[in-house]
Amino acid sequence: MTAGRPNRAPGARRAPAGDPDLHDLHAAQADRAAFDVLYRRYLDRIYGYAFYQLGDHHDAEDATERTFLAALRALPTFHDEGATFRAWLFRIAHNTILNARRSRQRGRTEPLPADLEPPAPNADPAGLLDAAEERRRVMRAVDELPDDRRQVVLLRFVDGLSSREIGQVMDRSEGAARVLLHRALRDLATALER
Amino acid sequence: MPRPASLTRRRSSLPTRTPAERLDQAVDELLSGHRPVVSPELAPLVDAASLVRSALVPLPAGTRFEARLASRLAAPAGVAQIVSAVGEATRRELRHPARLLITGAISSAAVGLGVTVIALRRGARRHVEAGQQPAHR
Repeated sequence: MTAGRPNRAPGARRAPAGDPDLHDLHAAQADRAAFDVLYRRYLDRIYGYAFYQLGDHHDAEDATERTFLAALRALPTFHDEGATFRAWLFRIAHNTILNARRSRQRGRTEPLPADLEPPAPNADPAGLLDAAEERRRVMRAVDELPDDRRQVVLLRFVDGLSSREIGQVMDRSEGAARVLLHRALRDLATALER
Repeated sequence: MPRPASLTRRRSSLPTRTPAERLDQAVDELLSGHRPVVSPELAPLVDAASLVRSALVPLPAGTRFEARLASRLAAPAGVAQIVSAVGEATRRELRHPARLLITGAISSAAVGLGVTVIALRRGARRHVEAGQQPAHR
């Protein structure tokens, strides 16, 4: 990172001081083996993001693998990004997933999976059915959103990224990311009202 | 010049944040486990956000995949790059089976043609050599 670089190139920006991954990031930049900590921290979130975008376990694993390999390769250049580590990582994932979708030469045709969790033991069957139906309805509504709005919803609700980070991932301003979220939730509210 | 007091008061009572900003903050609260209090215009949007939050469950990656990728990431840089390049090339080729089939067919034809040409030339050379040798008495 930039901490030990007093003579940074003009225009190069430091990673934000509030980045919670900064310490582990410095360690990983000094010693490749320390990347494992960041890998374990973000594996499920990257995988989840990829799966919700691609709708297929194999494709999601493939995209996750490419994301982490690319991140590991590019780790020494991170100080030029000016974003938090996780925004940077999700940006790599975002681009990898876009490429995967492009290479399939079609949009995601698989519906978002509705039954992802095993039912709790001793759960009320009628309640389970209702919950599954409700989830399917929400998934369908999310699935029908335009691409950029769906991505904002996934990044915000599955991965817990802030609007600022979503803007960095999608190459937009923080305000634009907020507006996209507002529009997406307005669309969802209308769709779920029906 | 100092502003009139009435104007200052009116300005400060105006909402300074856009609906998108207020919704963003409400979603922040929702994601941290609280039920945000919002204006009636944003209430349906927060309800939708709450439904989405319950529906989009986090998905764990498989343990075998996790272990496999961890070992790839831990591999020395050179080996990892070679494995990555081979994997990338394989994936790229497998994505276009027609191209793979055409390449295979052309390669097979080229090998077949090459072998035939060599066989014919060797056969012709032998024939010429046999013709030049003196006849047995």
